[in-house]
Amino acid sequence: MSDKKKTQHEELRETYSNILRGKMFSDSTLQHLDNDLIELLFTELTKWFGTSPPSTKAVKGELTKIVEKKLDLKNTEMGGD
Amino acid sequence: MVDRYNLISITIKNFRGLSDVVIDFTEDGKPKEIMTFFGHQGSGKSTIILAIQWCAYGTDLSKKQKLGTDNLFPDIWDYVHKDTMSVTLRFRDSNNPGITNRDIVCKRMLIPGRDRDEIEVFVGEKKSDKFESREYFNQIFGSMPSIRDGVMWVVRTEEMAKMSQTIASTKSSESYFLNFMNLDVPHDGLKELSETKRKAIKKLMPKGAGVNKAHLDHLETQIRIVDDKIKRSEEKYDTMALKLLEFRPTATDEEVAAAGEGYKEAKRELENAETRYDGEKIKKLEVEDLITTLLVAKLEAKGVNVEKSFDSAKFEWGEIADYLELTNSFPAQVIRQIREIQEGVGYDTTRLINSSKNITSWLGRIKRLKDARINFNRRKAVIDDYHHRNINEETTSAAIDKSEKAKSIRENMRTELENINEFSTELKGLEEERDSVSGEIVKTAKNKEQLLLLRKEKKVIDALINIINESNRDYESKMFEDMISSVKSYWERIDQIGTYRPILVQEPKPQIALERISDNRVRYIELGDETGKASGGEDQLLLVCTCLAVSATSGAKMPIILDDCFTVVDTDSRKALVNTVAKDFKNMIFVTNDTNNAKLFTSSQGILNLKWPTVLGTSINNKNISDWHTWIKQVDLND
Repeated sequence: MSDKKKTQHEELRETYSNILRGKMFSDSTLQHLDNDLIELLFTELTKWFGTSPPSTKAVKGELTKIVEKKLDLKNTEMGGD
Repeated sequence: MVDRYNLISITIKNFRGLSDVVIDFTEDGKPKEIMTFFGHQGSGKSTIILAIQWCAYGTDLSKKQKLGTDNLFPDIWDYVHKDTMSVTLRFRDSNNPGITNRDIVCKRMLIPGRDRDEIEVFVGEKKSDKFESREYFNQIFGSMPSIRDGVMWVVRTEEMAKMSQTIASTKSSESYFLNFMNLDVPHDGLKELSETKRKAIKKLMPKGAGVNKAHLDHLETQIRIVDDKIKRSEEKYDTMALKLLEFRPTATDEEVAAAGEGYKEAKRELENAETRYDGEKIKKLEVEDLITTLLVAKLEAKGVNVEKSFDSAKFEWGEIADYLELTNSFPAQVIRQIREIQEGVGYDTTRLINSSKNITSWLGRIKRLKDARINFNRRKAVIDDYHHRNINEETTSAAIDKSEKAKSIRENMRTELENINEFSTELKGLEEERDSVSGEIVKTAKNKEQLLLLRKEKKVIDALINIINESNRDYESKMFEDMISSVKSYWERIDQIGTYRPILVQEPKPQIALERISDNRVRYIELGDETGKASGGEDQLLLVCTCLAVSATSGAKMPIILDDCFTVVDTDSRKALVNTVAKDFKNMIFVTNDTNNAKLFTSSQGILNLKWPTVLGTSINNKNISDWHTWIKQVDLND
């Protein structure tokens, strides 16, 4: 671990990431997915936090790719279906 | 990843008195982190600041407002829009000052014949589309606060005062508590995606499914109703959480409240001791009896037998007085009175003889009096110690009151949380039923497989939206608390006087105020006069601390521009302020017309002195000012 003091923005990102990660890994719907897929979604969602340039269009595009191509939902039992 | 941007240059065209000005803030191509704009009134610095504000937030629809066209058009236009007005700001990633090909250029234009401003953003050479440009503007400058003339990053005292009075709310639409961390970006992206999936599902759903379809619609309506209930309860919960911040007892409050019972008991004991002491004290009317008793006691001790006598009886009162005087036990007045008896015809000794019966009771009384006095003094010392620790009726009552309010708020929050849980359970049940009914409908569909997949995708996306919503709420709530702590922390680092400390108050309206440490008296931010200047140094300092705290916890990307907002802050605190800003932010512009303030900023990497050298003429107008770093060194601030 580096001893370098975190910047204000790094601290904000860390705070948000901790909150988001806790919620994602304890969510009842996402629990049907493998942990590495939840991790993939987590990385995708946090990578936009506080960054520049921000882009709703890009987020939507990236998330669409993950949801449709990488999650393999066809073969995943989600409960209730 | 860009955390903060440095301002590289500003280009102003047809804006107020400036027809064509370019100011390059770099030196040898490198941006400045901390700069000072110094200039006397009328020198043009306010126009530069206003140009930055206008570029950030655009033209106010109301012409007369600060950012309205009447105030922005050059005077020579005579209120008629004759040419394109534009302001262009160039920014660079502050972590990579040497990389110039990723500079972000934000331009705002008001073109004749068009109602609205137009914005353009270039990243390096690439022009962004309209949607991306808007996102850049939002992220760099934030949404325009509801306060019309307030631009967060161009902070004057009046704007900061409003900030302090609106900051006590996490709702960004009502407050300066803004976030620049793109909280809405993933949320909006997911929302759009969810909507796409919803439409696709709707398209594939079999038509005319009869009862099931009606049931499904009913369930959807119920879900929306329960969802609204949850939102309302959550809002109530958030409001209470905010209120709790005010009433949450500090360590001192807890100490005072805990001492409350002990103090009351000690106070009761003191009152009892005082009553007893007062009861034992010798009253004026009793003095004569006491003296007579003391006299007869002395006589008896000497073996003198007091005979019964009447007025006519004669005694050697002079001898008795001589003797008593030798004992030094009686006041001179008593001795004198005894001698005077000699002059009378006699003395009735009945009272003297009767008093001999009182000797024992008087001795007991005097002992009780001494005990009562000792007891009273002890009890008083206990109370004095409490008072010395600032524990009294008022402070204990206030601390207990605060503690009880906090307890009551916590109880209400618990109730609201139970409501939220109850509604959430209801919602979950409804959603499961909806899924089941929907599943039944899907079974009859032709594209069953495709529909199932779409529903799964939507389910994941909706779960992510909920997670993002909850995370954003928790994050904003935490950041709000951090921001309040941050105000206090900046205050401790900068304030050099130590009379006050910042607190968050809810009454008469939510705001940040100051509390006098000696007596917990609250002082609200005062607006001194019609110009809206904060009236005292402490007020100004609190506003600056608030501004720094907001910047630190909101993820702001723009440099903060402090526009002459600490004119009456004491010199030591001003120095501490400059050092703190230089250390923590490394990205700030000070604007001042005060020579002493300008001199303070030794940490500034440059001072843009708007008192132009003769070689540049007397006006900023029509200038390409790229060499101000050179000539500023020749300008004496004392001049």
